[in-house]
Amino acid sequence: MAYKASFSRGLKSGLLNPYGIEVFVCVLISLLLILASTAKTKIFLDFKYYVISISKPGLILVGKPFQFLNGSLIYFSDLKGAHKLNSELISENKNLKDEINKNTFLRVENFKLKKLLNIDEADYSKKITARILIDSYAHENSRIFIDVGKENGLKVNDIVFNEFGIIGRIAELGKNSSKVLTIFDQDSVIPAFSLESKKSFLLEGDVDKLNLKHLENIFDLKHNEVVVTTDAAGYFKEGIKIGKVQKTLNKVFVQPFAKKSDSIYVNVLIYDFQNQLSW
Amino acid sequence: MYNNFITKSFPYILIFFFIFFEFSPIYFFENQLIRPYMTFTVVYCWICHDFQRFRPLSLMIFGLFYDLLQTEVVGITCLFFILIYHVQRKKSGNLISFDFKETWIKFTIYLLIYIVTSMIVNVLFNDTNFNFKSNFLCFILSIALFPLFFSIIDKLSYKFRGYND
Repeated sequence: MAYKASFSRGLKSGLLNPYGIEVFVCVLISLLLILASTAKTKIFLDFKYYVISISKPGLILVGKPFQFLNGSLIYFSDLKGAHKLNSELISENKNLKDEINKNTFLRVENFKLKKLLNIDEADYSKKITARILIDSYAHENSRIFIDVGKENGLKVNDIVFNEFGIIGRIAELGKNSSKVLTIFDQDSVIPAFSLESKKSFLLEGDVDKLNLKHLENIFDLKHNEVVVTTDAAGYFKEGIKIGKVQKTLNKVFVQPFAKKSDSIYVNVLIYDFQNQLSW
Repeated sequence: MYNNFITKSFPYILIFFFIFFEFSPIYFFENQLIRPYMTFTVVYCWICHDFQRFRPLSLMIFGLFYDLLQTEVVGITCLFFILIYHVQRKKSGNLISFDFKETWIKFTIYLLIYIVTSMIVNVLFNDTNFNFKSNFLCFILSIALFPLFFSIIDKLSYKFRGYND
């Protein structure tokens, strides 16, 4: 009669059997995993990322029918609402057609009225984008040079804008370059009009702000009211926004919308006054 | 030999399929989804019907994989699977009763303990915001689907036992 080894018999008895040991090891591993995951150890996080990366194709594969089903449901749902959508679009289409008819009528009416007044169509303004050749903001005279000139159709006094607003006007013209007198320049004087208090005055450049001139009581102006250009000087089109009135205890000045900018591009607005005046 | 391999590995493949099946919508939809605890239910049902097909190690791997995809704290599901397996093995037929209602209630209790434990551990150790409403709905949905899974696994386990024999 053969006897089993004492170690083997020991394993089979009580808790120390293969099943017991396996369960014990599994429980131990599970507990260690709980600890590792709560501690968020790097090894554990890497392992988790690795497992998720590996299982992602499986998830996508199993999820494909879901996606197809979901897509089909959305398609049928859309199909269900197609009739309603079609009715809405027909109605919208009808409204748009009415609008087009109305517009056509207005255009015809406009054409007839122009004929009656004997007005020729002409573009009185155009915009040219120019690049700043010499950045001037650092200089005291606040003048900038741009790379467009006579050849591009520029004239003296054409208005120059940056991304914030009016920055100045063309002071001197070259063939392919021009000098811009900025509104900050002391030589710059702009005829202006305050929109709320309805006052006319001049604005003189003063480094980073504009001082008011020829206004008896400057404190009549309202704080933060917008100031626009007038055509009094003949070279500015009226209604171009310049800035806002700023009132302090002893001073009133205009803070221009056009601030000192890093942009190397400006726009030049060219007005054909002669054409406009020939109306 | 080929058939033998398939019949033996089928429960494992099925459980892995359910794990993927349970989590794949997460990868396609951004919104938080109400998804029943299908894997837990399937593993539970399979242990009820034919626990001999599994070993604690394989259950631990299922639980580990499930937790790695599901939550920040890994290991709770492994412990539960091993616990259920141990209960069924030691007191054979403890989880399953002649009256199905009793089986259903036992499943509900185990699932509830599992969810509450998981919630507590996640909240304590991981500062996770636990969405009570969606988890409650998942719980109810799992309980409602239990008879369906139970009957499917019953048929499958019976069939594969027959193949084995």
